[in-house]
Amino acid sequence: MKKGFTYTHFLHTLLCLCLLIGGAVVEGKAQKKKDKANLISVTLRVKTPDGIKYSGAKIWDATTRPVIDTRYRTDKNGEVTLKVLPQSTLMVGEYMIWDEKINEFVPIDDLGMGDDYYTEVKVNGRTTIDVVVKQVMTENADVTAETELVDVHGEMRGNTMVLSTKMLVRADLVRKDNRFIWQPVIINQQTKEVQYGRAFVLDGKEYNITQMRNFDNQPTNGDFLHEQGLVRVSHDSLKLCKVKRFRRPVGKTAEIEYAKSHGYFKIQNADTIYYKVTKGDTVAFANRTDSIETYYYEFTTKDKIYVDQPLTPFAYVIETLSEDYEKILISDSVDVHIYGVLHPLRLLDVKMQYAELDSALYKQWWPKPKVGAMATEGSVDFKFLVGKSTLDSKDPHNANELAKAEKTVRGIINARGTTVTGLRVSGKSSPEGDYDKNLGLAQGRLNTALRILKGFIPSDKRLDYLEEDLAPAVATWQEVADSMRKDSLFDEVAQIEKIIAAHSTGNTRNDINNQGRQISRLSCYGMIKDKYLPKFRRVDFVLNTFVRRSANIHEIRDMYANGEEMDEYSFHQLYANETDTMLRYKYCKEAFEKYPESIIFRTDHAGHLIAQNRPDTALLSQYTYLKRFKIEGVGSFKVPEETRINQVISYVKMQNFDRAGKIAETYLSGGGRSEFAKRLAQAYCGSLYKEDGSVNDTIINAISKSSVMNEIVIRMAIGGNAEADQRRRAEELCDTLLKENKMNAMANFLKAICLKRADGKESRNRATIHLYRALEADPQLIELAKTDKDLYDRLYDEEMPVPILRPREDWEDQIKGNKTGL
Amino acid sequence: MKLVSRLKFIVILAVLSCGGMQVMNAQRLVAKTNLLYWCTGTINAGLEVRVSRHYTLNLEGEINPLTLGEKSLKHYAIQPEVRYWPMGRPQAKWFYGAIGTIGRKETNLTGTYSYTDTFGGGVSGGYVFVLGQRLSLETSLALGAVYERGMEWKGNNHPGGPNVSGLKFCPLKAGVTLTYILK
Repeated sequence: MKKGFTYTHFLHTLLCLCLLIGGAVVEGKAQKKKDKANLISVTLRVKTPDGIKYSGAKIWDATTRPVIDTRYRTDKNGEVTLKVLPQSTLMVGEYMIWDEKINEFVPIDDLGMGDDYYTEVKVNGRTTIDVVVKQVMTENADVTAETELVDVHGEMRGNTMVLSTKMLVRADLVRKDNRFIWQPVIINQQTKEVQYGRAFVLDGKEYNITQMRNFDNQPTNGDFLHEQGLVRVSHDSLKLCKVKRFRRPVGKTAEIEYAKSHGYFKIQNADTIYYKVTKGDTVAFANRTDSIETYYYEFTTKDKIYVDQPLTPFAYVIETLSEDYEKILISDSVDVHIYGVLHPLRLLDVKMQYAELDSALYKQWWPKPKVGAMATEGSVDFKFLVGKSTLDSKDPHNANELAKAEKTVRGIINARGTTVTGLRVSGKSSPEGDYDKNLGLAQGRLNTALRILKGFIPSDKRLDYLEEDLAPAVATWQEVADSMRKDSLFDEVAQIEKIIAAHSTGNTRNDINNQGRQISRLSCYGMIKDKYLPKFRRVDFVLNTFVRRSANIHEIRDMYANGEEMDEYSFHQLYANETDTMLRYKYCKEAFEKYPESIIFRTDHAGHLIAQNRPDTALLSQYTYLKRFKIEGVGSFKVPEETRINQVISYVKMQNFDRAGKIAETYLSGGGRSEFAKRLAQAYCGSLYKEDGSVNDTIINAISKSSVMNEIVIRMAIGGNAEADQRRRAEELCDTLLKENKMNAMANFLKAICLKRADGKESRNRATIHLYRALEADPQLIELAKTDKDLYDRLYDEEMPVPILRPREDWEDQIKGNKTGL
Repeated sequence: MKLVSRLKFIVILAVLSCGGMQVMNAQRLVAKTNLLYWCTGTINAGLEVRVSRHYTLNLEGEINPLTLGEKSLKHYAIQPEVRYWPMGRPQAKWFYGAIGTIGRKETNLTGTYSYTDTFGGGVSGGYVFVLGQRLSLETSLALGAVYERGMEWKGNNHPGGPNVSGLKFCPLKAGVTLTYILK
């Protein structure tokens, strides 16, 4: 057999293989580029079978698995827009629904196993797709739920929500080749804005290895969770525990069917039936009587989320996803409860008084009034008749210039106490023609201008002997060339400068005449004559004045009323001498707009905006990191406390407690006027405790001084070891108010909050009673009650099923009948 | 002529190597060796290249130079393979694919000398256990059909030319392969 047989086939096969590899690679790369360029924007409009807009539905691109992204979800209108390939397949899933009757998200129970709970949508190049999902409702939650929320503790510190979450995950579901994602979701209950915290992620060992392989050991290369930020749940932190659940016995046959359908199978004989959930370790077993014990892993996670409006109540929901490279195994949400996270000081009712710099203390920062000799310049562009010193009265341009000149002069001399002591007028004529004639023309024209300007000055505003000065001149041809150079006429300029150089003897008169004769022969002379020579027929003037005294307040008020120009000193006088609040706001605002560098106007204007409930944190932001500031001609000063107070109050009003707290801590002395602002900012920031953990009495006392109600609120905000004492004190204060028959509604409401936190059924029953009393006194408080889930639940306590609006005697009798011990 | 053939061979090999290197630089590369074949004295090695999330190209080669007296297990073969990984995680869990084989054997195990060329193809499948960040253990089996052409004789009855040829169905590969991700 010829040797070439195998050899040839071997080479041919190898060649084909390499071409195949190369082709596949090139094609793959080209396809990737093509794919990226071909992404289209698709809007999904999702509804339930009943036609309700479906909010919060999850969207998953099945074409690009295994990217699991819980952030693609429909908004309040049931819509979402995302970029996908034209031939993609999307999956739309159920999660929560917007209930328009109660204006809240309501979770939909679902057991969430894999693709069964998603609706498949093929894009097929469409840009808008209407989707109707299948809605799965279950009547009873599975007693062996995949994940459960055991406890969540949310605390607001400043603008940061600190969340500590304890969760259970069924032990058999934690595998080496899957990933669990718990996505915390914060929902602002007022604006319904959804915010995501960092996802908690538990990766199986094999999953983690293959994930790292996928992304070349750099998970930020493509694992989107890493890009968004995540909190790793380590396997070491998982604690195995047994959880017992009770269910109603339903009979042997039904029981077996239930067990089979939920993955149980029998391991012992029928008399005492035990079922294993999986073939491996025993993770759950059931007996005929009443209970199922299931093995769960318990873990706790902690994370912080920044929120913009920390005083509004938030709902906290955890979404759960589990996936194994390719498909979703579990999709769930902790929809059994939605926990409310409330700022402990949301019920504070504080009126913060802004501060002003308008006082004698800061008069040294006012600008000085203008008194003494002054010189003010101006200019007019009169058009004179050719070869004459008279104005061309038909030229409308001259009328404008006259008006302008009059306004300029009158603006100068109208300041109170001003006397004109002198007038200097200067101007040039063009160099065209004879020099002597031109100089005479210039003199004549300046005389005309002087006469006109003098006419604007009344006799009582000038000295009897007015110092007059005329400075006529003839423009040189070099000035003409410089003017032309600015218009880039370089060739023409070169010609003129050549002539100038050739005819310069040092005698200005002769030089201008000789140069003019030559220049007039140039071909561009027509253009020079029409466009550039007229520019030199201009008059400038300087008005010398003497100001004997500054205007008094009456004169300033007159000036303001007449709309006259006001300098900074006049504005200060006007503002400082005004007692009417609204006028003060107005003057300060106008002064700030005209003189924004004035720290006095800026600080006071910021304060006025606070009073009008329109705080603007940007106004004083330039002083945030500034310890001292400078006033021209006066000196350098420490930024005043009033400015800091207004800064802090503005930030507090905008609920930016972190910034308010930092400024208060760094700059406010805490004494005098700044005390309340400082303590309030610190309280909102969560600094109710000192470093050693003890309660910060300084803050408590400062807030308590503002009102009894605020004292109750601040004491209720204390937690930890001091909680019980502070709560008792708060209750006593509530009782005092109630005895004095003051603010019954709010006092009852606050007492209800105190009591619901106490241990024992009796306290909870009393909380219910006080809540009812509060609602009877002020039914509007129901909206406030709804923000606190634990409190709101009191109204639906099964032991006290009392409608809210029944007569008081009825429900009090009923309560007594329930033996509340009240 | 010999020189021209040799030159032709070198040029083709060089071109293929460059193409191969270009591919290797761009994609994930895995080196492997079949432990089961080592038990039979067969020296073997392979390279697997990932071309997309679900597809890899595998090339394995083996050579067995063993001769013990009259007995011989000598053979060599090359097996290119295209693999599909449903999980989208190459070198983890299940795969299946299409395999080709080309080789030559010079065996004598039962007194019959066999000198045949073989080439064929079939289907393959397997499961990979992840051992570590770069290390995995692959178990695989391939079944298919091969076309054989060659000579078989006993004793000194050398036929002088091909006397056997035909298609037969048989296992193409069985492997317990250790793999290492190079890059």
